[in-house]
Amino acid sequence: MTDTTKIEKENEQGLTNEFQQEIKGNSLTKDAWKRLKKNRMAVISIMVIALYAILSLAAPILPIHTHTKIILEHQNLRPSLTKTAGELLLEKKDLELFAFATKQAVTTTPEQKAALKKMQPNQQFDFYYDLGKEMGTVSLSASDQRIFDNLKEKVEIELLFDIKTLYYIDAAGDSKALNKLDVPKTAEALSLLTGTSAEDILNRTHKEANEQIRKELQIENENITAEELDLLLTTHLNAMRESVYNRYLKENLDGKIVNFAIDFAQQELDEVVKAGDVEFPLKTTLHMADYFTFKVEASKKHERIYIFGTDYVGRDMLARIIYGGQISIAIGFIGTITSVLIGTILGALAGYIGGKTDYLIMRVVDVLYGLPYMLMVIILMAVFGRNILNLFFALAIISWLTVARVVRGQIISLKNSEFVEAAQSMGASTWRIVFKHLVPNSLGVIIVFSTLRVPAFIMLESFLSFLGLGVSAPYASWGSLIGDAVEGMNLFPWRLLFPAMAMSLFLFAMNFLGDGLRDAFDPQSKNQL
Amino acid sequence: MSNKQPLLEVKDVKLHFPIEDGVLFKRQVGAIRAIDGISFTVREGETLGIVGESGCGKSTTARAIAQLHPVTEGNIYFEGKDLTKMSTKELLATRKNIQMVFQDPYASLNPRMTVRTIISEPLNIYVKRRLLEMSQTEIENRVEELMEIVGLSRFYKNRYPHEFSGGQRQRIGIARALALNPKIILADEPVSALDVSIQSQILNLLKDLQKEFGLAYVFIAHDLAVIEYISNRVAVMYLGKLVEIADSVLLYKNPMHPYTQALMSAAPIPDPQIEKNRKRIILKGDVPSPDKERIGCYFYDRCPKKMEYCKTHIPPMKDLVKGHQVACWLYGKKGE
Repeated sequence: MTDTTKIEKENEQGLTNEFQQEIKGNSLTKDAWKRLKKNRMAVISIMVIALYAILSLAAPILPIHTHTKIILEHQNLRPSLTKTAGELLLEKKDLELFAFATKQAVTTTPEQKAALKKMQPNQQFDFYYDLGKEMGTVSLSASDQRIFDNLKEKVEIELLFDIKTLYYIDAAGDSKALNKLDVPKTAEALSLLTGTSAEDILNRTHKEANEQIRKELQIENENITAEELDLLLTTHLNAMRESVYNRYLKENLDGKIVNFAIDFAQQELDEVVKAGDVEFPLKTTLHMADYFTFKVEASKKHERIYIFGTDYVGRDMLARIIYGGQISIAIGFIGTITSVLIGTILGALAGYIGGKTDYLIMRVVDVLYGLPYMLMVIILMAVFGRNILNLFFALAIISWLTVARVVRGQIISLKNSEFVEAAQSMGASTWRIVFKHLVPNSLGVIIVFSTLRVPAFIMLESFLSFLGLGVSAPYASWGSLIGDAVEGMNLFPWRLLFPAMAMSLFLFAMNFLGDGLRDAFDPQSKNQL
Repeated sequence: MSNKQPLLEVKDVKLHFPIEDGVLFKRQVGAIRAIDGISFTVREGETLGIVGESGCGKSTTARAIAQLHPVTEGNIYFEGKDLTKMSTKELLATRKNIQMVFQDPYASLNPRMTVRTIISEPLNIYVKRRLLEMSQTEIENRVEELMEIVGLSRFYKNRYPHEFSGGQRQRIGIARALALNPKIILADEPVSALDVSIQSQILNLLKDLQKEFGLAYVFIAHDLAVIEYISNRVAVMYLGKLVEIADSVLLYKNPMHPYTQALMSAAPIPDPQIEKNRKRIILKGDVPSPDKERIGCYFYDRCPKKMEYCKTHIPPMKDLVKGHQVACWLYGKKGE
């Protein structure tokens, strides 16, 4: 048996060494993963980051409140694990009324007055509340008591409900989802509810749709005279495809029907609440005027529990932090990936090829560096419009510069090493030398740099959001949440604390992971297997 | 030996690195004359040793032959074809036969690649460029074969270079050079970074490989003993010029050029008796900077036997006896 056939045979069976252990192929990534697993902090960081990833990806199916729902009564509620919003509201009202009553009933000593002046409003409330309780003599006036009782009743009965898909049952007895009906059928259905003829309804809807389009045109073209607008409207309507126009009609009609349904559901549910004996959250099917059926999910408005409190318009902080994390993490990663890609490719080519290419690329970098980056972002956002994609784009465009410089420096320090010369003597192409020899050898720097870029991007985004250039309401990012919270920092610390904590934990994890990756990708590092 | 066809012929090669100056617009103000007109031939299966002190252009010569630096003047013929005038594609096809082994086994292997990737890289490059046809399994087998040839266990193929000793690394470097079945290997001080005991192992390996595959070597070193051991012929370089070429036995027995004589006398002899009575030739001054154009002998400044005539006349390479070539005015007639 010759040597080669022996080797081939062994290859088929899987290579084994003298101890009959199988020898598997190895790659840099596999090896790096092995090393990374040994690093405890990096593993914890990966778990933390994975948790964040799961939370932000699974946000729509998590049992949390929607992050956009505004409930004005629930403004600035403190976080509580057990108390419902209603209880917190009553507690707040109780404190407020009792404190006022105390303030009117007692006279404070000069020392107390001086102390009161230094206090925040909520501390003053607490002060009066405690004083009143201590004295035991202060009681609420009849009108105050009435306010309190009204609130109590409101907390008991107010509902929040959601209408799921509406079904229309036509004369033949077939039920069809409302959004699947065409325009004339929808008008017919509406006519059954209003009692007017379907034709009247259609005419009115046409008028309203035209009015709506006119308004949209007016917003698009400022400084336009009424005649010009009319002219524009006719040409616009003529040019508009029928399906598009029908969509306007359909939206209008559907809206009306849903409004009917909401009114109807409100009445029905009010009766149910008054009758008592029902458990909330309630899921039920309602029948409206024999033609419509729809499912309703109702819950008591003030029975919500906000474990992270609420913000200045009564949105759930937990939901906002999770949804905000989605955007912040996405900006961090996508921005980093694009900037590192652009920066590495251009920096590596500049560093390796040198000469005129290097000169050209680095002068472009210098010029872009010279421009104030905030101004760049503002201009880009102004030119391309304010949305999240443009924000990614703007951030990526200005942030590859540093990466390019760092990578170029690394490549220049490596390009005269003998292994590069060896590759050249083998006839390796420039591309191969740069991306198989030089870039992998500067990977440590690139990885550490990019893991540090992620927090930097999150910071940059939060700064932009703070200036009002980043994510706009109703969307949130950690940056915008913190920005919003700064105002009421003393009174409502939870609005600042929770997003800041969520952000810091993530940034910590990113930094530890960066360290771990750097060690893992360096086969010569001290943290060996 | 002389009847063998020359495999590699280096003819009047000059390699100057430009010195640039200027604030906004760069212009050339001079040149470092790393190689300043050298000619020699290497025959099939032969080892040509090149010695000389640091900075005399030994390594640059190897790099010029491998076309890592474009030569300024002159021609390099490989099997009769001029490497300096080839297209990239032709050059690649030809350079398959010219491979290099580098000085520092710690720097010449990419630390991010496993031994398998390092050795298979030239194969992969040539397969990718369609200059070679090999399947992945064939490449894999070839890697294992090469590892056995250079005396490494093929079980090491998934390891990284830092897991090996210097000698083992140099073996990896040799395996990589052998991968494409070259006809000539340019060994740029392959043993100077190794321990003496390991040096002999590597030298013997190189000798065995030469016997087995009929390789020719251009072997660069500054250790005279190493050169004597491995070379058939030896060329002595000084300041970018060859001063003497001869069969190694001849050269070591009878160095003719004053510089060679000085070089030989600098090497200690492992016999205290002889060493005690030996008279060393000590050169005065330092090696002059190679950035000047010279009109006289390059060795004039330091030569112990200099004559007035040498100052203004560059000595040509003269064939003396049995292919013993010397560039010195001491031999033969002046003005010839």
